[in-house]
Amino acid sequence: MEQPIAAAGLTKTFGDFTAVDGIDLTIEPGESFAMLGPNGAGKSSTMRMVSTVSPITSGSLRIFGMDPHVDGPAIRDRLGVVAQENNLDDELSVVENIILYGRYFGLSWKEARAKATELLGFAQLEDRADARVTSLSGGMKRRLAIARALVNDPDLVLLDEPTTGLDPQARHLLWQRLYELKERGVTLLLTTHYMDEAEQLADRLVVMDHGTIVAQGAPAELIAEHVTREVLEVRYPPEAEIDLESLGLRLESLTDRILIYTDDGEATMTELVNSGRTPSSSLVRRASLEDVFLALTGRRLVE
Amino acid sequence: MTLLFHFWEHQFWRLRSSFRATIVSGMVGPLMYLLGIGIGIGSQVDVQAADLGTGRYVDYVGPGLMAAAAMQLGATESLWDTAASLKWRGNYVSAVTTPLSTAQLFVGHASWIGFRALIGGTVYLVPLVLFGIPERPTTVLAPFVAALTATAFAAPISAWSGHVVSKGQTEQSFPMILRLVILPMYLFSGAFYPIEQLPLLLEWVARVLPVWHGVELVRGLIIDTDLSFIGGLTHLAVLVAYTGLGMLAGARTFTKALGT
Repeated sequence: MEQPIAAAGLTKTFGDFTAVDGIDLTIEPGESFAMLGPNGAGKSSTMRMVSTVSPITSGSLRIFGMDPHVDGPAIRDRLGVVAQENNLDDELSVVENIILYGRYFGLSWKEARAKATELLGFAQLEDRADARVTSLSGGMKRRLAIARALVNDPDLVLLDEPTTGLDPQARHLLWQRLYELKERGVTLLLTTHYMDEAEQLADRLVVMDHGTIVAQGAPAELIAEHVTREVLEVRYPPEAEIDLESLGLRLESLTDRILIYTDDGEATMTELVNSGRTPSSSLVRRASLEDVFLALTGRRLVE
Repeated sequence: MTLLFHFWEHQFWRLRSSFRATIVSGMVGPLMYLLGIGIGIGSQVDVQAADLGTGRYVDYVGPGLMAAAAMQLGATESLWDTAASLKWRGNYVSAVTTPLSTAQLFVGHASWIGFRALIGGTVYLVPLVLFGIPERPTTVLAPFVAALTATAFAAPISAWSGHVVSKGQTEQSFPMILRLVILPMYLFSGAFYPIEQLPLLLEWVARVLPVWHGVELVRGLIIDTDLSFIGGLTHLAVLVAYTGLGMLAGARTFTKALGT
């Protein structure tokens, strides 16, 4: 199969505002790829250009080797698009949402109906087939939007913030479904501002900020490259004047706590206690992509 | 073309639960006017003196109302409903993630409104026949002209709605369009009296805008008037031109509204 996505110097501007600032991006068949970044980083604008609905401002973009400006219909024929909004049709039932969408891809009624039944099984919505869309929970609507996007057996599935706004249980169920897609070899491109989502689902990812790519690689690579293995989080009373600089470790001061980057959190903690700098509370955890983002930009992902 | 068919199929499926209500309300509106104005006001009209060229006033008003109702449908369906479909309803926003293009979407959108006017016009033939109004076999073509009258309004007005959505503007222009454009056009459409009765300036405004052409052509197809073949073709050409220009504009504004 051709490269699902190849972008070079891809740029999108809205008037004076540059949403995407000359990014290079390639995604290989079967890969699960994430764009991680805060709101306004340019993830969704990139997604909309890839889905061919938004024209590129400059640079080059090829989807399956085709130009989205010229071959939009042929490209969309092979895409599954799950936008940030579900965009489900409230006037149709759950199963009709999939069937009538499938018809645009040239499926016969019979094929579309069979496909819809199969996808409702995948999305664990079989028992809601004839329900009105308005009666579904947020997580169910999201699963239906994903099921609908799979009706044409897409070669590339675009997921814009697939779990934003869902409760933890619904998120985990959705991750499980997406993981199954990934296992089947479907190429996935997802945007997220949750680092755990990217760690769960992505083989490779780019960290975006202000329309540019600030780092890329596999989640574990990025963590190894930009931060230490562990993070010791400590809190001190506001009036305490504690000197942590002498530890010789990288520090990040957040509003309510201080992060100490160390390869051995317990040892660092012992050192603090032995030197009379016992914090009022402490926590040792594995470093995550959140720390990578903080290290790269000095800001947190979700404020 | 197949994609257009799937678009219509999609729209039909969405509306099928309310389709009967659409048909009934599409008939009740013009029927009320037919009774209230055609019969009610008609009783006060001296048809010979008014020189309308028909036996009864209701024969004059009845056919014209078909085109005027089509205009109203074309205009009202193109405002809030269209904007909602472009913004938050799942039908249009998701349709353009399929092979359907935004230009095809617009053609489908406008022609779907035309199709609904065709249904409305066809159903309206029933009261027309009950009142004994049709005089010509070409009456069966009148609903198609009603459909074209609807698209002559639906295409440009939907194009405007697409523009409003693409610019992120509010919908404050919509009630103005209905009150300051569509309502006067309804009154000055030639459905109720010949536009020659209007002051010269208004008469020419009426001649330039599409509804009068729809009214004249529909009337000429249903009853015997002095409408010539060439005159009929001219009316048809005006309706086609408004529809076509609206489609060109709408394909652009829908593309902007759905993809920036």
